[in-house]
Amino acid sequence: MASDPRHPLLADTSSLIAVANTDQWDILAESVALTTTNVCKHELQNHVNANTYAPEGSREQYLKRGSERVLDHLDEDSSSWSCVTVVPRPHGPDAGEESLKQELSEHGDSYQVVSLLDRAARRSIRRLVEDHGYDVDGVGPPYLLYVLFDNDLISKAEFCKATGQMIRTEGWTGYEVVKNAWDSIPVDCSEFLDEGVLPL
Amino acid sequence: MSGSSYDETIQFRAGAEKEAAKLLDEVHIGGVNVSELARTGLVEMLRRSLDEQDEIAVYERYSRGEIDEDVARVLLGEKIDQMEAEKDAFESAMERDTSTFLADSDGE
Repeated sequence: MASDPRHPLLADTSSLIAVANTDQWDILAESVALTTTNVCKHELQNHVNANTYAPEGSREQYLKRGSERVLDHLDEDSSSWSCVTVVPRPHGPDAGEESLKQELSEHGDSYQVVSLLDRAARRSIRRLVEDHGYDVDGVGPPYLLYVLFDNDLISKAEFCKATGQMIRTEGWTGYEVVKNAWDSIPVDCSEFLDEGVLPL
Repeated sequence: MSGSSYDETIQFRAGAEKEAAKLLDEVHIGGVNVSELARTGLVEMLRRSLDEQDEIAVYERYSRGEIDEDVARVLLGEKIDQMEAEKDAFESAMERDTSTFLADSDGE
């Protein structure tokens, strides 16, 4: 595991759970090559263990289901995803995000884009990137879906719907990452979204 | 939004609160700026009253130019700047060759 390859796309726990809970998960898992850390993998495992009896439709169940999907994929032999080991191992509630910072500090040249769901974590990563002079962008998980859209692997409608799915579960956090995606991409999602969900 | 009822109610019909402010002004060395205190308190309470859906609604209206930036800023604060930073980061990432991130182009 320690010798896993580093792909130019690095993602954290929450970011992976967010995309794993969209309808485009299967195509994303098989088409994109990305890297995460052993610490994030451990967090995913904790979500699965801690939420054994999570009720249907709850936030706990969302975390559990997303984590299970990601873990299954990471453990597949044919998976193009990799998991790098970060040493020393950070602990605490932000351990996953911290592990990304640590990985980036040491191997910043290996990455181009880092995907994180948490806004504070993205800002922190951007500061780190600036301090080190790396050429890396810190973005939200809609970017992972954008990669599929930009390579014609999913349609505009599929991109919009999957991106919209993130908002419903993540409140302002989801809105923030999705809104900037919608604002940036010359894609009019209004025709594909339920009333009241937003933009445009 | 600019209805007169706000002009009236925001005058604070304060009883004990007013007395408390006066007392603090007396006992606190150098006194206190009660107007400033009230303004800051109002902003704080407004923000605290906002739930996530309210924030989204306010930001949407601000984006469409329906409310002024200073009003939006009272409610959303630095979140407005952060949204701008998020947009810039996403745009920068969009300029990359995304095919590099596909499983096929591994080892690039």
